[in-house]
Amino acid sequence: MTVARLPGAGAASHGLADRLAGPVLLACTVAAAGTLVALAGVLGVEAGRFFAQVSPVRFFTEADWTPFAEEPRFGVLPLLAATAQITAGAGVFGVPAGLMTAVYLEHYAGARTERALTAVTALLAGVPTVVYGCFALDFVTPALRSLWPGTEAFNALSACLVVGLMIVPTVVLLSRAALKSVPAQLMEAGLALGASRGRVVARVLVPAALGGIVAAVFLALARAVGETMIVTLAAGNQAQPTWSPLEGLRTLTAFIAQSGPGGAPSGSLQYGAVFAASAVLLAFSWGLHAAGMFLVSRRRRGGAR
Amino acid sequence: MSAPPSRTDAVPALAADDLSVSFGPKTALAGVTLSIPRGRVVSIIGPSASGKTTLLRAFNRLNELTPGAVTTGAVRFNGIDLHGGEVDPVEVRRRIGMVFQQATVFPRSVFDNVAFGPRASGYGGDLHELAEEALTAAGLWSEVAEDLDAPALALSSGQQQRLCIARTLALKPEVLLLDEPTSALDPAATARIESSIHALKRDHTIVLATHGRRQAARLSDLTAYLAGGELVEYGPTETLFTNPRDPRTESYLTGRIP
Amino acid sequence: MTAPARRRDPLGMACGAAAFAVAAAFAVLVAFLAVEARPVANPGFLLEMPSRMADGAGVGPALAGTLWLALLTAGLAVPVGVGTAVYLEEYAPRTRLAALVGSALASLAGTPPVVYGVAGLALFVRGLGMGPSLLAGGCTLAALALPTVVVASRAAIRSVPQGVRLAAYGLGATRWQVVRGEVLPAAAPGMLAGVCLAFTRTVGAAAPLLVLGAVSFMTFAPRGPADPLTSLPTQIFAWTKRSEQDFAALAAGAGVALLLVLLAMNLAVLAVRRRMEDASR
Repeated sequence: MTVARLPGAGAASHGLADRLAGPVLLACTVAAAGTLVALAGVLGVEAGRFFAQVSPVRFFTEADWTPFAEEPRFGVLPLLAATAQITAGAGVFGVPAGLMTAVYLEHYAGARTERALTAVTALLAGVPTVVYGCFALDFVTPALRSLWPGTEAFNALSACLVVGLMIVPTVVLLSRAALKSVPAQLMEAGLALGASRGRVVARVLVPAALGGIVAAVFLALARAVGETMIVTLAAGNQAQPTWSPLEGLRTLTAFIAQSGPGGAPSGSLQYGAVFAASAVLLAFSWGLHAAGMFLVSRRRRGGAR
Repeated sequence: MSAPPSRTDAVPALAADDLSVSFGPKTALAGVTLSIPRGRVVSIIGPSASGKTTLLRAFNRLNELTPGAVTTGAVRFNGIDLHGGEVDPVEVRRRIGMVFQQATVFPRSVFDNVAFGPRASGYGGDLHELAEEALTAAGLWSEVAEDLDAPALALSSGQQQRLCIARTLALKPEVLLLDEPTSALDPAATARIESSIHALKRDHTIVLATHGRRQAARLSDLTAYLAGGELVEYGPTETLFTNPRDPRTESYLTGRIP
Repeated sequence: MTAPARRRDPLGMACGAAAFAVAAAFAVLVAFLAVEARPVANPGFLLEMPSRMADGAGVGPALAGTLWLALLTAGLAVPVGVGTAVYLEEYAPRTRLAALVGSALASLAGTPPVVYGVAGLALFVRGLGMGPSLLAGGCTLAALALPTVVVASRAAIRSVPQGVRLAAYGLGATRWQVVRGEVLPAAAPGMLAGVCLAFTRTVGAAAPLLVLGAVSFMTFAPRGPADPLTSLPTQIFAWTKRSEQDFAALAAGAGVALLLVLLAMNLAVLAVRRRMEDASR
């Protein structure tokens, strides 16, 4: 047998596609990363330009947001408070509904009910938020007004209810994954000890999945923070801060969507304010999202229970 | 450990020289030196996680596909350093064929599985002829000749493993690396694969990693015992089995180490 | 566990009530759209131009705009996103930089869509001079879809058993032969599912397009990427904001049209997936 030479790299065995694939795929990665860096860059630059003219201290401490007044004021607190209010309100409706649905589907529902309800949550997840907004303004709000005649045409309650409905699929999907990760033998062990099914679920299974469930809640709330169309349509564009759920509000997202930045000239304070508000919104939702992802990864490593 | 005498052939088919492989903090092989003479069957035996698979994969540069793998020392194929800058790992794998512990047939027809390697390397000859030759050598031809277009996944697990051998043979490799090819099979299928290996001895250099001490004894000319990533003992199979020099080898062969 | 015992369980009853309340809310939403959209339930609605008068107005331009946007977004986000995923999983050296790019892309999935609109306004509409066009909208939506496409594609690629790669490499296949011939076909059904989810979100997104400067009143259907930005979601927004009852019907009708577009898209993808899975069997 002859001792043949081994041909070197890039020999005839490597076709053109093989030599092109690496560089082309790298180019895709660079393009993807580059686009997102560029988008973050312009956001940062515009927000920076705004903060060069408006003191960040006043921006974060004043409670007056009137960017289009003759003497515009840029105190972001009312927007931030409204965003927090809507998020909390949506959480009050959406989180328990989603969690209980998840528990029902995972531990109680029969196979056919389970399949049907899973399909419903999948469909709910596919409904565009603007359609939810239309539903909020044209159905939920009139219903609320017939219940409580003093309700304003734009009110926080309608937005909270519908944003709550919108986050239900996220809560269900993620907390079901957490519940699934709890070994099924725990249920049998609990029942064998003579505990009722509800007791085992409440005292053993849900606590065991708690890390993942909390993560699901955070990720769902991060979606509620960034939700734009429902709050813009249903809660309106009310500049005055209020605590009444039957009055209107203006969230960060509603300001961004409604201020018509398309019309404001580049470089103007009003234009910059949209970027500053976006930066605050980003920080808010990324904070919640990062907390959720952190909890998910901790659960995967088996650190949290 | 020194290599066994093989004066008949100055250049061994494969040789590892102070070969170490680690995956991150885990050392899988530590300073292994041995040579595989051309035309022989060499068994690598040892407990689980002793480095058998890693050694086999070092022989055709598959370890480098695992993230975090670091290889030091040298592997020579016909005297050529496999890690030399000029060497193309793809070509190495075409010349040094490998069959895995778990039969991994591609979810396609029997024929497409056998034709995979030749097609990948741009084989210009008659694929059907090549496939028949490879399937015959692997002892599978009579069972699949009727329907080469049948899905490979429909074969029994023993047939799938022989298909994997045939698939590798279709590349006409000089060396065959068999990584515990029968560990997932029943005795009947194992016997059939062993007789295939027996037939392949004539034209190939074979390195067989195996858990079965008796399989090593039945099939191989030389046997190496690996433990904890180190080469404990290497020599003619008969000598190693009847008169092991190292007490560790002895306790493994007598079954005191699982 | 027998059914009656389950039913007597108070926690089970409460959770069941919550689950059926969610289902009821969905039913109400669907019923609302169906009832509200009845006045515009005619094929002409899909083709007509929007109008200052509610009577006889249609979603022709908005529908065409949404189809254009879906095409542009798919054309930009799918190749770039899948390419990025393949590079990061199969080609990239395991360096810190590659890990950083991967996790940065993943964390972007938590960015509110409206923020993409703001950044897209500065970058595409004004910075690159695209104006409020379908092209600017497509670029912005592609950026919005990109992180999800990458994350879903990476997950699908990672779920391909390592044995398949080893077997192919062991037979002397080159990297591209392994990726093109083994990894991508096995990962494709999973990828499609993820991409489809990303697209359902993206094609239904109104907020970013609104910020870019979408128009809701066009007298002609857009014929190319350079034409003004218009879409079904932004059209729904504009009509919902009008307080007259007639426009509410138009908004609901446009909502039904949008849902039908999304449904058709999902069913088409599902059919392709089924085919792929059958072919690989």
